[in-house]
Amino acid sequence: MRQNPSENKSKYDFSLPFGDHIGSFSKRLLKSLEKTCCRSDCFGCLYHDKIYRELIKNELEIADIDLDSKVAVVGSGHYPMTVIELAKKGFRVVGLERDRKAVKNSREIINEKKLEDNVKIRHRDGRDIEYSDFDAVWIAFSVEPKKDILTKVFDGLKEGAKMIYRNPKEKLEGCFSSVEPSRFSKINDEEEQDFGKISALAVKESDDMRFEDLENKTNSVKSLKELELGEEKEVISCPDHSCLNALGIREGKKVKFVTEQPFGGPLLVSVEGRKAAVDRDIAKNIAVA
Amino acid sequence: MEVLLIGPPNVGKSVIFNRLTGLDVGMANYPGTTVDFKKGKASVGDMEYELIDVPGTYSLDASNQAERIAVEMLEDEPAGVVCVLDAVNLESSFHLLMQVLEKDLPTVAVINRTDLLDGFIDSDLISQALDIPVVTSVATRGEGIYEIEDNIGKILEGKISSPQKEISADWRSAEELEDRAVTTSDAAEETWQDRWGDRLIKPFPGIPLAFLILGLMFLFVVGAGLGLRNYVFLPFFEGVLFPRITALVERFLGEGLFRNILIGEYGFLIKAIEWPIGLVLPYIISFYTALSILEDSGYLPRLVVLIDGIFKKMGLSGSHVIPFLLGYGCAIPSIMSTRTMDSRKKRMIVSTMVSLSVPCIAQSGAFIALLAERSAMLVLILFLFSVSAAFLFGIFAGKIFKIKETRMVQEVPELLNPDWKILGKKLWIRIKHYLSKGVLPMIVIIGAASILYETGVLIFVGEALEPIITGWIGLPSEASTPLILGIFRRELAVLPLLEMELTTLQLFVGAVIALFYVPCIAVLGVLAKEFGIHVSAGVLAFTSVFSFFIGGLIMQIGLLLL
Repeated sequence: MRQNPSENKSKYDFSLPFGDHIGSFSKRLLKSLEKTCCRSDCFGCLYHDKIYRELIKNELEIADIDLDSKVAVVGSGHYPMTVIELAKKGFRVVGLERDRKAVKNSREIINEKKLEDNVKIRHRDGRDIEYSDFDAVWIAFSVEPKKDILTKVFDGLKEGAKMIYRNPKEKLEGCFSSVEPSRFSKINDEEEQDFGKISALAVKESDDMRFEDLENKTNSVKSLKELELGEEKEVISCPDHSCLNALGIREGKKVKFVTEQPFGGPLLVSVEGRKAAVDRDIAKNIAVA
Repeated sequence: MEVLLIGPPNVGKSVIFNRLTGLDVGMANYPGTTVDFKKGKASVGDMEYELIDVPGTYSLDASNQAERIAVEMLEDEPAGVVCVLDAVNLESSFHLLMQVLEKDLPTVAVINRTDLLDGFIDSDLISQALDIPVVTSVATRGEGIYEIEDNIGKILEGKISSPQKEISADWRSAEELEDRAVTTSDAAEETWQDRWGDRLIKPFPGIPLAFLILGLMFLFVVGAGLGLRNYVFLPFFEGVLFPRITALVERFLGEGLFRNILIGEYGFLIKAIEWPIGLVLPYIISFYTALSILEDSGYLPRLVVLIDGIFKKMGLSGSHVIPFLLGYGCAIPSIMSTRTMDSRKKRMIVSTMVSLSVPCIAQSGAFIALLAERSAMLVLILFLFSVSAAFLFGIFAGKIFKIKETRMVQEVPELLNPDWKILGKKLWIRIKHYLSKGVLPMIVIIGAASILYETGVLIFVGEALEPIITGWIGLPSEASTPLILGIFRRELAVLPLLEMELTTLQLFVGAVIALFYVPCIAVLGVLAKEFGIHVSAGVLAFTSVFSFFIGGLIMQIGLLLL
């Protein structure tokens, strides 16, 4: 498990807590790219339009939030692309950014785009704010310490509120940290995006199994994907998927891992004698113990 | 009066459907969607009704198209519902039944496949708990069918009203009801179905066995298809029907353009019957026979699961293997079968892949005739070319059109002995579907093509292409006409090459071009009907350019190396 960084670290230090040089480099690259975007509006538009419109569109599809929702974006950045795209869709958005320069830059951009009626940018650390007001909270791809921020945000959410964040695809996992949404909530989803990102959604539930609870059982809890051939375990959390549920893959049921198919094909499991093929990416989000 | 037949997949719903309906059955299309469902006339006593086989669903959560359609059908005020439950998996069946009962319609529950359960089901208890009639059945043996009909009769007479009990569907009550209603005996002995069911889905020996099964299926389809075509259909057409048509036309029309368009070398009246019925129908029959056996024996879901990993790389899922299988018979049923896919983009990509690089059975035969004489290796290389081109195209198209990958969650049912009667009826429905939906676009486009041919337009195009043929592709100039004729029928692009004195390299290049070349004109007609004329034109342009480009490339590289 990664350690939380000490609080006195400079806010300009974006390296990972365990000192991964590649990670720190790519993160700086990302930041400087964003800064360039602020200076050159044309480049900014291009970067923003091409990538983020699609990204947000797909995220809104999985998040499915009402138009009158109040939305926060943690780590909105120098060029607050997520904020702009959400505001354009008509949401009221609060951007949170701990870098003073980024706050200044992004406010200017918001004014230029005439979105100031719907958008507020606040100079805050994502961990020091009350989230119970918001219906949905977006969290930027490269925030750190990611797991800490995600946990704090999710804990502060009101029931039914949604947290949307971005994980790296496998290729980038060495540079950016990844947190699976099934850790937070049974109601979760993932959506593969372009440019090495996977969007993740976790919805706050009332009788939710919290991150800490899972953490206590870390040794015994694993995902269905991690089972050994022939091993049988009880499902403790499972995405809300009508077909999965009907095939008997539900909380409290014993699932046996029968075989797996080559070339990234599905896993074959059996529940009470009934066999089902389950895609690896879905199996990843099924927790068993 | 409409009665819905609803239930999870693999429960034997279609067996019940076939038992209750007569021969007046067919496929229907749900308006505004690509989902097809079966529909048939049936009667109890002197009351007639229409039985609708709702697409199989595990739930009514409306999380996919089939489920949404099931919900819409239920909300469309049918006279009643027959909900088929799976005796072996009662828990999830109960959940579905409870969701159906929430719709407040007169409902009968049928617990099917009771022969497969080692235990006892207390149907009275279920009947009381849910306040509806409950029937147990073994549809494959015809047991319980009379009771189902009887209950449908009561629904039609209004003797069964919607249930009075307030029922809400949740998993806990479904589990409870199963606990109370079912007593299972101790674990049953492992049958041969269990053993082979497992073997067929483990990568080993599942994958080698899959090759074997597909190989046998291919042999059957080719053999039975060729047999039907050469010994039944063609003798009838050429010996009996066509001479009469020709004589009739000759009596009324003098020699000239019109007569040629009707009965000339590519005459409309001849070809519009010969192709759809004489040449394609035999393969439709043999192919669907083989496919229905794979389906009804429970093997198809296993194949789909085995192959899913590869298809996922293209953004598709294992279930999309079916259009490919069909394509090796004929591209037309293949394109029609993509209707069950959930997105138009995917349908178009799969249809284009099949059009581009899956040779139809007639063409495969011609390839073998053309290349096997020189070397059997060439045939193998050509088929490898076909498969890898389809795969690469799939990957590129998936990236370009941003196909979201499909994540599979699928039941793998146990193996079953197919029932031949039911198989026959299924085949009948499919052939009727082909005759009513597939043949018409073929006929229209064949008509257009005969006009183009007889007026000399095609020959003219062939001549215009000559410089490309001789220069870039390195084939003799007389090859340009057969390549254009390939538009008519794919094997026609290949066979004339046999009679030219060609080098092995030239032969191979000719075969590659014919492989990737425009699908036959009838396929263009079906593409136009399914996706619009612009897609059809796009596929024509793309496959032409692609085939000539690749063919030329191989020739140029070959010339450099040899």
